Amino acid sequence: MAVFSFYLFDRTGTCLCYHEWQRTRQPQDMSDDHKNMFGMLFALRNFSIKLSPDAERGIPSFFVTDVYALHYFETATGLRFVLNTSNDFKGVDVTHALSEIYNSVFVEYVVKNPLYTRGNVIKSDLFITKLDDYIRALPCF
Amino acid sequence: MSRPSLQALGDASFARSEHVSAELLALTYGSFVRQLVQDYESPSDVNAQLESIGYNMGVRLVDDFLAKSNISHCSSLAKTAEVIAKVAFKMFLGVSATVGVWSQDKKTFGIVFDDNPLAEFAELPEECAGLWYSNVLCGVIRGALEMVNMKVECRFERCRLRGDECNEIRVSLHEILVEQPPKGED
Amino acid sequence: MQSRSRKSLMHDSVPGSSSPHGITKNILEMSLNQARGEVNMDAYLVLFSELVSYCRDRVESVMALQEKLAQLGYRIGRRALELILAREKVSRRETRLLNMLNFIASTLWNFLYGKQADCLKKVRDSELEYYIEEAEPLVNKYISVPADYGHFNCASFSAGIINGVLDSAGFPAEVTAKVLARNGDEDLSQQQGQPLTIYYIKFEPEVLEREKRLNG
Repeated sequence: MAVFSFYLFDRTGTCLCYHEWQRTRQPQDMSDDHKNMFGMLFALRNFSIKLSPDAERGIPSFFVTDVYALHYFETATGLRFVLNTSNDFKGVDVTHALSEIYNSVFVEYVVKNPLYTRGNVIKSDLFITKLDDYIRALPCF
Repeated sequence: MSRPSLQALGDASFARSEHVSAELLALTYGSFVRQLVQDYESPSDVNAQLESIGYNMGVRLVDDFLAKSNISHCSSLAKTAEVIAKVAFKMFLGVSATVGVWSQDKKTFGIVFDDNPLAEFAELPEECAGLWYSNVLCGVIRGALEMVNMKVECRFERCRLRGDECNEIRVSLHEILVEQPPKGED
Repeated sequence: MQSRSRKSLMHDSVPGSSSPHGITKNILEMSLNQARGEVNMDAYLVLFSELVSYCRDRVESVMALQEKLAQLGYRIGRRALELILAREKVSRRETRLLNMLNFIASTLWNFLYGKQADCLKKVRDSELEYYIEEAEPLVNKYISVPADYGHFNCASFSAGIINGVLDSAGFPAEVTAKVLARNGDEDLSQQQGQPLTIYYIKFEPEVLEREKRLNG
């Protein structure tokens, strides 16, 4: 499995963090790319819940195409973690990995940093380093 | 495998976290409140400051709480109340709280607790009669719930420092915020 | 004892009340071996960071911010000493300098942070200057100081606590928190490894005079 890119959005759509490991097709404009990604996730999520037999649940974990997969994890506080990988991720619970990134990287290095204000783009190098370390340590990287 | 009770979840989350002396917390908080009383004229201004400080704390603590307690979402206000009392109070303050009386319209509930680590060494002098010493807790609850799309108002109803038999915070739900679609969405 | 009357003042104002948990707490009756009440460290640190923000919004300079934190710590120091003495049922005050310093590095540190200070040292060639080393001050755990804050250190708060204790105990001193690189340099730009925080204590000359008198 190859890991392509990572996005972290807050509930207003601000992209708090974007990081890439491999991206063959670069978009023209990154901020457009972020807006499109968030818009798509918002629509996908709401549509997915509408289809669900349980009105409270039905949040998608991932979707797969013939070349890539998009993995999704959201928190009750509206944070949305996205990881794009190649589509041969069988047996790896990437959504769980994203929840671990929330628990042990985001909360530790962003939330607990008193100098970070919610809603701002994450500028902490430490966070990026820890995120990178975590992803690279995944057995399937 | 049965889901652990909220009580057990609270105990486990507290046990798993790193701790500091409750006395250090009480002394630090006391010093902070003293400073506020010095800086602001009236007890009601101090109450407002404490609430707003609490709000900032709640906004920060909520992600830590959700991550550590593994609670993904609460399906009802009643569940939310139980989680605050049994899990959050235990996890952060190490004390047990219970959900108190509900209002007629089921939109307001109480959080009742006896021990309050913040007020461990405190006493209220006469000139601070209107002060809700631990008002920071009201702000924490408000800030945390706002981050999960619930707009609430919290206020102290009873406080042991004021001579009441226990501490109680009343939490009232004003509205559930619905996420707006992003601007410029086609 | 002052702290005892303060405690009962709070409960006297509640006639006929009884906590479901029973007995009115009395510090003097608390067992020395009783497990300390504890709270979540993150809750404490989030409160502390609000305290720092509050002070930061009301001062003009980094120096003033450090002083403000030290003042808040000072208040804690004065009360901490009373509490510790009440709990340990100590009737005699420490009057000797080294005993006082040991009290700070062990008993006080244990009361506040649950452990002893890393190290207590004396400045060479001076009877009045000492310092306590701390590798990882609690208050600095999640704080990263921006470059424009210079030598700012939240541990000024802890320095204030030490100052409050020393003043209350009759050992007036100047206490400041400094951050040093491992090799003892104040210049952190060349640092290797984690910097060290030290609490530098400089006693007033009267303390030395008293010490000499006590030595006979």
